[in-house]
Amino acid sequence: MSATGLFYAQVKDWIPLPAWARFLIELGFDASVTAAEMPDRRLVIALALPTRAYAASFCVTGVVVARSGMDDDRDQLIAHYERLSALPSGTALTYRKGNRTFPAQFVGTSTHFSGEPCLVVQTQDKKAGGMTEQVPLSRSMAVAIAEDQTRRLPKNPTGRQLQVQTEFVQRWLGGVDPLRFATKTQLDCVLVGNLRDSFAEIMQTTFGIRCGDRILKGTLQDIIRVKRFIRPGEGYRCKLIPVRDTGRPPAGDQCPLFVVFDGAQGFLRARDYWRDSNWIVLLDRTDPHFQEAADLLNAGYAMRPEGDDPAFMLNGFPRGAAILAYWEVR
Amino acid sequence: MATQITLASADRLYAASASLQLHRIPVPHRLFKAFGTARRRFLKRLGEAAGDPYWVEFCRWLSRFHFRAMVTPLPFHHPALYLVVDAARFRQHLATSEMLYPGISDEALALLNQVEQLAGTGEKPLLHGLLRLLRDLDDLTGTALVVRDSATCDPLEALLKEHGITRLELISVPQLRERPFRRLIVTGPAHWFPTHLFAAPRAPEVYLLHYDWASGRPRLEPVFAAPQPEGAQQAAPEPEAVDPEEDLFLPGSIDVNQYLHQPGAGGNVGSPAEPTELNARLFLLEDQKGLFLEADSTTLVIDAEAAGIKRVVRKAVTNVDPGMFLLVKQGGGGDYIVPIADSLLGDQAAMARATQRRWKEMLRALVTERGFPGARVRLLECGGLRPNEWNLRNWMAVSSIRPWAFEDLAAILMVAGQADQAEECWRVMGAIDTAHSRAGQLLRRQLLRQVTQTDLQRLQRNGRMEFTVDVASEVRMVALRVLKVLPGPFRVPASRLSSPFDVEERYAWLG
Repeated sequence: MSATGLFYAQVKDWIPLPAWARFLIELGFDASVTAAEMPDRRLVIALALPTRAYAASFCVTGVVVARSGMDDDRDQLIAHYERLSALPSGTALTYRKGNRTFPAQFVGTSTHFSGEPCLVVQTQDKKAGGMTEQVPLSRSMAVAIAEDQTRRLPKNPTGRQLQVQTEFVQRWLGGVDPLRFATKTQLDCVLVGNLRDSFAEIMQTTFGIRCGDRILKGTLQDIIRVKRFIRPGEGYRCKLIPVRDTGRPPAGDQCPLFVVFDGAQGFLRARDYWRDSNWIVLLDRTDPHFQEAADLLNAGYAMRPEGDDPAFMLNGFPRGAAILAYWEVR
Repeated sequence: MATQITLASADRLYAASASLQLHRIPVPHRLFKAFGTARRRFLKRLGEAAGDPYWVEFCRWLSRFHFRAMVTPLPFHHPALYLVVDAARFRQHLATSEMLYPGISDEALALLNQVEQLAGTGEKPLLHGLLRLLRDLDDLTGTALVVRDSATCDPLEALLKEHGITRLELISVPQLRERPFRRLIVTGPAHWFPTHLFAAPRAPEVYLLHYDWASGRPRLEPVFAAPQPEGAQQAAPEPEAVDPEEDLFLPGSIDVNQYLHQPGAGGNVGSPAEPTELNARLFLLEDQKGLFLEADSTTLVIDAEAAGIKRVVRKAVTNVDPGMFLLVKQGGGGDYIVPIADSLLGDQAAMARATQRRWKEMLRALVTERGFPGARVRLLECGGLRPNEWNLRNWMAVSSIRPWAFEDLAAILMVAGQADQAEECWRVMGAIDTAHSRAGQLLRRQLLRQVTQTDLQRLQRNGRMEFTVDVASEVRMVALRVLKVLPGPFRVPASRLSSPFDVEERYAWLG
């Protein structure tokens, strides 16, 4: 669904999401779609805003929403299955069944009783019985490689309930399976910002979507799925890099599709780490580093290759804000 | 780091930005305008001589009076603007100007007379304008007066209280980031304030009181080079005739060089054998102060936005940002740790420092005599481990306590024929090292205690906090807010580091 129809909680009231907030979500969405159309180029978008508050969180939401539809791709499913089936035996996995996740280990492949090829995963410690399950290809998205490869299997696999507002996610993301969405890891975005502010905006602000005469409650974390804020075994879509940690290159070798810079400082310090990613830079006009960041972006704009600049739907563009958008060659 | 803003507050900020109503209230004053014109003419005639030792203090005094009178609704004779003792001092000083600067002496004296005349009137045009405005406003709830010069917050608050105004909140410019207001009142020329006051206003209504010859229109330039959506940015106002006097207060680019090679407060320009230059950052602070800090070092900061013990932390100089508070020693420059460490050393302090000075002088003499390569060879011959040029420069620096290795200190003493003193010297340097370490810990603990007991809103408003340490109460320190950081890097003589110096008023409001 679009950002229209969203509310935020204020004490006991539900307040319609303001136009500027809807604009930011839709900008993130449009940017994601636009960037996908030009894979040989990278997109740079900068906004000068009256305040940084919630801007990055909303943009990241839009990016993730745009890419959430990738879950339904059959080719993706097959590729995912093939990737898992080629793993060494004993590889630690996360296995989702219903609304619970279980630690598991890859055993091998087999043929499901339905005739489908299947993965064989072990969910119980060998000493306690070594229970295994067959996961057919059609459900293989329920299996993911675990972050922690040293994790042992439990003797009594009870699993852990997923912390996700399934109705909220389903309503917002349309046909996406909310449980699969919550367990699949797909790095859509890196967010460079202040940890405390991001936590408050993403985890502690309640949003609502109207569904008939009810309002379905959730948080942005139900959509964005920031790795730092998830529980073990859950999937993530976004990594949050605190500005204070930008003095050194980020760990890992993934190149995120998008990097959203929440504020000038993170942009000034860390932009060189992600020169192959698309950027959304959100600048607070009251920030002491604002002008320095704006100057750098203007310099990049002046050096851009010839051709049309990207255009976006600007419904609800906040009066008093400013925008810059251009392509760079990868 | 700004205070966290809720979604509802953010919405108010967007609404204010979309529909700012700016009310301009010009205030006339013929005599003050004449002073401003005369001052401008005088500075233009002085030209580069304004930086001469004879004129610099007088010019700074004139500028400070003019700046504060332009932006602060205090009477001309208020002590925050004008002190009789200062006027008398300059009158005595200028008594020799006729002889030394015959072409300009009369103008200087005329300016002094004008300042005294203004102060003598006791007039307070901006204050009258402010009081009239406050009378007309129905309710001061959610209304704040933005004070350009944080140092005048306390006297202004006291003066308003005398006039029965107690519900008007006074805030400093950095506090504008914190939250939305219902209404803001600003006194002074529009472009003597950061652009964001008008481009990203914190209230839907802003009242601007300004002298009628100064610009009441903000100069808003486009942020980005790209064309903007219709109705996006606030339109740049029509250019208007601007009093050229105001250009003297436009920030432009700070000329760092003028501050690099002055003798530091309490310090000397580095001698040839000292580590002459280090990479440094320049911090512009409240109270019209500047401070060079070595880029590759750490410093104690107060971060009023942090919680608990994180409020006082030691940070890399490269991570010190505007809004944080740096400690400087009052009444003379130099390191604030040294006098605290000396207090901890007690009776040993004089002997320990003399011992330290002696071996450093021996090293300087060696380097002066043989140069760095020759000194290195000699020290290696005497058992030194790492006497490379970089280390030699560091060891000679005032800020360095001792070499890392005993062998290096022993080699220095052996070259000077005092090898038998090496162990005792090493022990004494160890005592200094321990005292410095304890001083740092003590300072942080006491600073943290004082900060947690301080009204942080007041600290944020005033931009400064005075501070003493129990064991060294004669050492007076002040924490000053960082207004701007110039990362440079600048090559700065070691003797200039950590010594605060005065900067021109026009840089004082770069925040």
